[in-house]
Amino acid sequence: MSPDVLLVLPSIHDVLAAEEQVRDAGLWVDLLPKPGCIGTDCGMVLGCRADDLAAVLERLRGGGLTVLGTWRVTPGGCERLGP
Amino acid sequence: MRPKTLYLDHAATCWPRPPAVAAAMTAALEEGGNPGRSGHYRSLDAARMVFGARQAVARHLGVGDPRRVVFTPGCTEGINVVLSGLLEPGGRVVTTAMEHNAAARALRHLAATRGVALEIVAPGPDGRVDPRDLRRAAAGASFAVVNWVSNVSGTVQDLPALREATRGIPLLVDGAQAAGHLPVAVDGLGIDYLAVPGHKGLRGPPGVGVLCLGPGARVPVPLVHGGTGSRSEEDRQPPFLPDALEAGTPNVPGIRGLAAGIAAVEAGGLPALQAREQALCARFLEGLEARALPVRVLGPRDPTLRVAVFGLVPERGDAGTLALRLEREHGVLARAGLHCAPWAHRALGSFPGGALRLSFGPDHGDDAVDEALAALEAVCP
Repeated sequence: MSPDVLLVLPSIHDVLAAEEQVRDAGLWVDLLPKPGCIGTDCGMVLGCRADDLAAVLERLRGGGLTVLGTWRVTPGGCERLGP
Repeated sequence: MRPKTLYLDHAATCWPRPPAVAAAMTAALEEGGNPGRSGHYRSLDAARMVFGARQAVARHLGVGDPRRVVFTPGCTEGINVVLSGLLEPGGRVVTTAMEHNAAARALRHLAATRGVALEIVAPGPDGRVDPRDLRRAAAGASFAVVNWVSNVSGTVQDLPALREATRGIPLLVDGAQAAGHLPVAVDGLGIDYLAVPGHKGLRGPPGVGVLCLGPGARVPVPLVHGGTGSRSEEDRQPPFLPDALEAGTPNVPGIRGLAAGIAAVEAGGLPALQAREQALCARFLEGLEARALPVRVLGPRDPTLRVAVFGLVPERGDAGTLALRLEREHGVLARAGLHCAPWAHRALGSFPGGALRLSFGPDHGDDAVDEALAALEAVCP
């Protein structure tokens, strides 16, 4: 399965904390190297299904994690959805 | 092959370590990966390991948010990060005369280079600082530094009372001899900054330590700037924790070894370890008294006010000779001298001669106490 949406968080710690929280909620996630369409940072991003995005964001907000941006995966790369 | 020895230098570093510590470190070396730097599985596995270790440390030390746990090369660096990164010219620091050089030298340096004023509070004869004295000295202070447990006398400070006495002032606690011996709750005790080593009571390897920040504690200006794997497009240190204070490749084997050490401490149960340590203190102090050994014991007589670190000042002869004879004639490994804590020795009246220090470990029982007492009796002139 490939993610439809990518979420950017501040640090690798936060990405892993997010992964744990979302999985604990029974939702599917994947970790990926940050793609060039988002930035040249060497960090990781959290990927999820588009249908789960609202639930994922709610879960992360409740867990005290900051999402810096969300990106939709497109055939050519990705496009920004929101902050 | 060396003869069988009795290792009584746990205040310097623990020995032997739980076998799981070396196994965890070896596994980290074999598995490789630089956490948070790359997207491949070895990097990610290493990052997950550091993440899990940070969570374990946070749970063990009572830190609500693991992001407020920063891995350092050791307790000393954690203390220096805080003092160097927060104290400003004209600041006034209240501290105690029981500090180790980890804090004392850093404070003296900042007094000389930044004009930081120091107010040093003397303890009572057993090394305990009276909270009322600290409260008086703290008036007008901008920062407080307190050694929780003395590496010279085993004295345990009444930290909740000292926290109360410095209420409203950021408090840095040197927990070098406390972690792994006492229950620690950074958030619950209202500690702003706690520095601990990995290789003493927490039973991990040397070369790794932890700096914990309390909720709302100001992030110090980093001592070291560099790569973090985050915000790589920027040439400034990220402001968020833990990255702000973790520049450079982390000591993954050390961190993994520390997590294994903490797991061993928790497997033994800290309350049980504490109870056993107090019983051991009582047996040792009673044994000294029963044998009427010619030494002055530094620190409290009440086992509940101390850990099993005993500074002994010989009435005759010198501590160094006793340490040498203990090892050569009885295989007892102890440490003589000033223990990098001249302030504490001055405060306790054991400067400049220092003391002979025997510090027991979590695996020691009554037999170790009795063996130490017999050896002391044999070498004391």
